Amino acid sequence: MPLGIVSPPATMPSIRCFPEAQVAVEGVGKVFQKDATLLSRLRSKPADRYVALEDVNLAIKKNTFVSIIGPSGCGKSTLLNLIAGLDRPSSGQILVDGERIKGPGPDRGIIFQNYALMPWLTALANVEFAVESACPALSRGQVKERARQYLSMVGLERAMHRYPKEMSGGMKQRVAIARALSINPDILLMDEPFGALDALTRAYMQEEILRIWENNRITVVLITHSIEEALLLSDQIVLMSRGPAATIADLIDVPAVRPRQRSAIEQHPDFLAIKLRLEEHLLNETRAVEEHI
Amino acid sequence: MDGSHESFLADMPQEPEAVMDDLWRMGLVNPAAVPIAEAISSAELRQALFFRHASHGNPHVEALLRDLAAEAGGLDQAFAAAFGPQAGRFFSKVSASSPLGRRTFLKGLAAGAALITLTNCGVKKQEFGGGSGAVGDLEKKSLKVGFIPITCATPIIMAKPMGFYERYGMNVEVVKMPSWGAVRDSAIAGELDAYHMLAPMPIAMTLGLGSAPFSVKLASIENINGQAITVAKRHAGKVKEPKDFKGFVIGVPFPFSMHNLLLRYYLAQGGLNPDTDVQIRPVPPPDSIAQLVAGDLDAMLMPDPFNQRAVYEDAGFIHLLTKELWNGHPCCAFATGEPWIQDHPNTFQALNKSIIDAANYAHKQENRAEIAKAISGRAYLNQPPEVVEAVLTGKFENGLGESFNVPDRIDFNPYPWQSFAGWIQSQLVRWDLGKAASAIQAGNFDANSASIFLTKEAQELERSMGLNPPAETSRVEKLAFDTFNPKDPMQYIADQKKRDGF
Amino acid sequence: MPENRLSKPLAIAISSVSILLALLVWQILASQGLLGKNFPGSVKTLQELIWWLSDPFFNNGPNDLGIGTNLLISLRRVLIGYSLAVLVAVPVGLLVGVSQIAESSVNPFVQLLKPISPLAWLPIGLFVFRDSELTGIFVIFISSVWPTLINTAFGVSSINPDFLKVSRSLGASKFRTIVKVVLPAVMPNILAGMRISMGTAWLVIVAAEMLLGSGIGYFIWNEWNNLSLPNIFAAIIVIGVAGMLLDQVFGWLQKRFDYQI
Repeated sequence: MPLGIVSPPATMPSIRCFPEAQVAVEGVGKVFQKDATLLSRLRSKPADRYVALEDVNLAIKKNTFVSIIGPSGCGKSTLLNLIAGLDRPSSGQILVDGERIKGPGPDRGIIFQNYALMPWLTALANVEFAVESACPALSRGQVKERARQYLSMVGLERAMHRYPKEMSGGMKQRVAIARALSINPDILLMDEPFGALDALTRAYMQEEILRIWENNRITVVLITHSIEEALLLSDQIVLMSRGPAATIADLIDVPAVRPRQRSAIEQHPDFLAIKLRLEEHLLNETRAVEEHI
Repeated sequence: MDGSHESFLADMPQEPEAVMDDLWRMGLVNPAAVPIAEAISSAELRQALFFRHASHGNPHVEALLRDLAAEAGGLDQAFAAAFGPQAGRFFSKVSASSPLGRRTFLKGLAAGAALITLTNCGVKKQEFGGGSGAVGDLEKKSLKVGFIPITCATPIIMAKPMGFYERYGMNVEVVKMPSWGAVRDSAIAGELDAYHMLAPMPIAMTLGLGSAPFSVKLASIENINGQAITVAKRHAGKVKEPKDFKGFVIGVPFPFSMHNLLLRYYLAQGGLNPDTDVQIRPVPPPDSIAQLVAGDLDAMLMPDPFNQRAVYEDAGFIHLLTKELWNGHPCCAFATGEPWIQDHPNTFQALNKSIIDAANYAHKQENRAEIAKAISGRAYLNQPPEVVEAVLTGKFENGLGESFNVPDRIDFNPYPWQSFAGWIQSQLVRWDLGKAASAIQAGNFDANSASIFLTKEAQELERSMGLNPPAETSRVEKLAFDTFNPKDPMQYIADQKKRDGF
Repeated sequence: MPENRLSKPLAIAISSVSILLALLVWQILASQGLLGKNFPGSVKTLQELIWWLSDPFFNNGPNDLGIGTNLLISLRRVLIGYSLAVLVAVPVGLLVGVSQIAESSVNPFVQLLKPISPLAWLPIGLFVFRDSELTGIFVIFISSVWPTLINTAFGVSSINPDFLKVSRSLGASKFRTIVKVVLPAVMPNILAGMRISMGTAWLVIVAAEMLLGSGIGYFIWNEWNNLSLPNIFAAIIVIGVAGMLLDQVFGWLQKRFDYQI
């Protein structure tokens, strides 16, 4: 069921705009201030202030796979950071399960483009670290078992004792996925997770994600540059306008059935139309960004 | 009183109580004597113990003492016997007015007299003159004494390998110091027990010249003479008198040193202003030879053995021995901080005695070669033994192909004349070193000398050791170019200034 | 044109030949008097060195010890002072890297005290501690604390922010983050700082031991008193080799902790 754009509520944050959404982004703006002291804020010059996001409204239903796509510099990562709780919105609010988020937490797992694996730990130890941190009540044995389990899920049981420097990009990202999922998050946030991989590994990883997601459906928010990837993986694609003061430009449903087949997607009747529409939007926005002096 | 007397004394316990203990343990005390002993009055017992103590347990001595006392008709008269017939009358007069009462007074003096006189009995003529046994209890037996590796420190250094410290019941570690500045800082910090210092240093440190004021006392003079003016080889033949030093860069070990003062004395009377006509620089002695060769120094007035070493290394020649400027001038000193003396009065005396002994032993020419061998090693002077021997025996080459035999090139006489302190102060004032001219007022010379140079104590100590110290504490000093009368140092300075023109 | 990597034995052979050549040149220059009068050649120096090494642990009293004994005494002092420096520098460096308040408080002292020469600290130390041994250790401490501190702080401030994000998002406490994430992440920086600090400490000991009556630095000064250049050079060689070995230890440690982040 497509959800349209809703105009932002100016006040009364206690009233939820999107009562059915698991993640509700309501009227969120983000301003980056250089030198954020009180004095400089009072006499701030326009150049010191950068409005990344303005009036973003978004509702994400539980256990849906949502992709966010947009031109460079449109604040996709910023938005993801806000949802993750790693940063606070300058205006508006973000609710998860009806509660305003106060910071990062184990209910929202994160996957980074450059993996963020701790290089002094083995794959197994990396996942163990996550399990230990998020579930302190577990015993040492239980932690180990859990970690092993998730590494098997991503197909790395035979590489558990390798260090990140001994692994390929794809393997590293799989460890990251295992790590993120091992703490049983409600939401998985992925910031261009396959951007650093070559095309073939990327394709392989997309298949992996599909497979894993089929087995545990959780809410996923994926940031990507690739239209094909978005079409292949997501239920819904969020299109962002260019920055500064970026906002949601459009919301597109992907009607394909699950489980997804790459070939099936390409042959779907609406596929081409959606693809062209996305491409046109992106190209326009990108041109505007590049030619803006 | 034969030679075994000394060893006998060394073996006996020093305390009367300890003597009694021994006697008990040896079973020599008749248990029946105990009630008798208790019946004896304490005064009589103390007398008996005094006799025992003063005789160091030697029954002959004790018997003699008792006989003497009996002969003289009592302790008072025994006292008179110790000090001479007139003494009895003199002290009778004194004790008549003494609040203590004649009897007590005389008894006390008599005990003291007996102690002093009889302590010397039997050891007077021996090599190591002076006190055997403890001067009271030593507060500290393991000590550290700092020294700079130059021949001036001979008494301090030799006392270790030649056993002088041991004789007085001390275990001393002689610690090599890297520079005079380090000695000063270490003394102020109270790090070691006593130090080898330059004779002017206790004065400079106590009066706060060139450092924060810190009270240092000079116990005895390490050596007299023992320095020289050495000139770089390249000036050979061109330097005959002070005027030839014009424009030179001259090294001295430390600003507050006899070296600096004597150098200035020499140059000034020769018409050169030491502050403007030459450049006087403090240089650590080992560096001085290298600098002489390199051309950084043209000449130096350094402690030996570095003058002789310069000759040995063919770096320079000996132009003048300082004994020719002032025969018998003080050079280095044995000193320590006042706080240490106050905390360790007995140890200080024992240390002093061992140094005085060592100095007297070193004074004798026949011992010099032996001493040179003992102190040349790596642990002490770390110099070639022939260089050290040349310095100590006075048989040396001067670097210009001439040989000399000057037995008192360096000499050892520990007596710290007050006039030494006076001369040093006068020169510090004359050249205003460390702002001495304002720190030392005309009327303070004597007070400073008396407080810093422990002449009276040295006098008493030497007498107690059976030596013959001078009767005076001060004297007129005859230098090569003038005469210093300690009673009028300001006039001396004025005369010098008039003579030299600055 | 890029060279092919030399095989290890060949590299060692070339280094050895280079050293031998240098010794030869030194001997020739010295014997021709071109390095100044009485400047000892490599032959004499090596003779002295061999003499010293033949009985490295003799003890003729505190001012006269074998070169091995002196070296061990110096090593002991260096290790004590250096360990104290590391124990202070790493936690303070971590704190300064993590907290801006700490950085602003500590930074002025670092900038002021870092350039002070160890020789200037000697009299200050003696005045405060009143003991030469403590002063020596203090001087080593105060000279070698800065590289480790600065490198640690720098490492912390340039840590990959993603690590911290991961840790935060997992709900790890601040303490757990510092111990389990920050510390291992900056270990390469800490080791780099420690390596430099060790070099500094070993350098300073020679100066610091002028005040102390034993150790290899004191040995050099004592031999200088006797104008014995061959002994001084022998001591320099020993110091150099010891310093090199200490440095190698850190090189090995750095390899072990090379994560290739």
